[in-house]
Amino acid sequence: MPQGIRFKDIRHIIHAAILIVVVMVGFLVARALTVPKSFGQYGHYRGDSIHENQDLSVILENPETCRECHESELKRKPDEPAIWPGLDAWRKGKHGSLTCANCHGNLKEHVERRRKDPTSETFVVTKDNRPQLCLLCHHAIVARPKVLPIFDPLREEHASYLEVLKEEQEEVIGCNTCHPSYRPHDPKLSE
Amino acid sequence: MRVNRRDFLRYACLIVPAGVVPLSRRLIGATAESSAKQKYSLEGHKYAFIVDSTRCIGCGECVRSCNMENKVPEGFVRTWVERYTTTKSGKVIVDSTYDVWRQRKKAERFNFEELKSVPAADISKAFFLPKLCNHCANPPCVPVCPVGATYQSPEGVVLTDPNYCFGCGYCIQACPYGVRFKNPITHTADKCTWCYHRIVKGLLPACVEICPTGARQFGDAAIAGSPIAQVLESAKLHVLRKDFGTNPKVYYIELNPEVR
Repeated sequence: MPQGIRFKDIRHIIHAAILIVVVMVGFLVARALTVPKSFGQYGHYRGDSIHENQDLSVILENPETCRECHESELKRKPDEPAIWPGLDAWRKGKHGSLTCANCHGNLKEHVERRRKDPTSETFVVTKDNRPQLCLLCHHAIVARPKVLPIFDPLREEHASYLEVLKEEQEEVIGCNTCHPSYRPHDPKLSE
Repeated sequence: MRVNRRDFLRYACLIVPAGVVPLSRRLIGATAESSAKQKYSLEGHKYAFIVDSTRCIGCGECVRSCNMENKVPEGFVRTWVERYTTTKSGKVIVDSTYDVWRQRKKAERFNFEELKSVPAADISKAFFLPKLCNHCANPPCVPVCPVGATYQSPEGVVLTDPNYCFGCGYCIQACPYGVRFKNPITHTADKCTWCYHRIVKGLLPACVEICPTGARQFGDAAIAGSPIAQVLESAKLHVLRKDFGTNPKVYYIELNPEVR
């Protein structure tokens, strides 16, 4: 041991070493307490987050859920016109690429509305603004593909229809008076 | 040491059950757990989203259904539709249901209005284009997160963790497609998840489910012969801003050069 170094000097190094160890242990303890348990399970994120994202509730129902009630004839009211051709026949028609919710709203609100008032509209919109629902797709706006049947307000039948709408009569006719919603390619204009 | 038959049987009767009981408990426990959990596996999926812009009619049903499904706060959208109108003089006019977002207007219907600024006779070409999160294979939003609150799931879906995000907004700035926003209720980053909660249950994303024309298609390309695998193989596909090197997994059929 060289002459100049005494134990008193080494004490400073030991103090520094103790300080480093305390800081490191403190860091590790703080890290263990703050980093979530599942962090790093699949990658650099909380593994539980995957399951939280998976467990969010499904809101928009698909036609298969609607089929549970509406496929059978029993659910149909006796005075209701038999317009519903059944799911499989509707799928083959020109509106078959739609889904129930496009016109009737989502299942939950549909059921709640009908439970409150069984005579309420089955459409998502009321009678007064029902043309607006059809016009979402069929209004002649820029960029709308020409393959789609476009509502032409200048046609004679449509012009008289719009007159009726303007007068706000009690019995407002909807587009589906002439164009059946489920089979739009099968118009009953001749009737 | 010699072991006679009596001792051998005695010890065997003690040792064998002692080994088998914990082993069988582990086996039973494992099967019970796996049947209780969903059969969905995080591995072996290759999800892809296809946008057929030739089929989009701009009805806005996708935006409405997405906002309902994901409880998107009013004034914000996770997906939107753009309309590109080219005039005969070559000017491109872009308007969108997204304008609603920028103007912070109350928007219930998200449908397009008639384009009033250009007379109809002056238009040479016009089309709609849906946009959503591209779920990039090389996402710029993920590495910038300082806490690991946005990530790629094992299937490659880019998700956020609203319970861990503290809302610094780096990811919102990093996304070159502008699909992220700060949720004003949770004050965390929010974005399209391809309806991850639906696809793990075997359902379609809400926008795909509601689309009346099939302009939006979704599926697992890992399933051989699935419609999406066939489209990926046969159709001429494009991605948005290929030059960014983000490798999007939202593919566009027929993408015009004016799209940005």
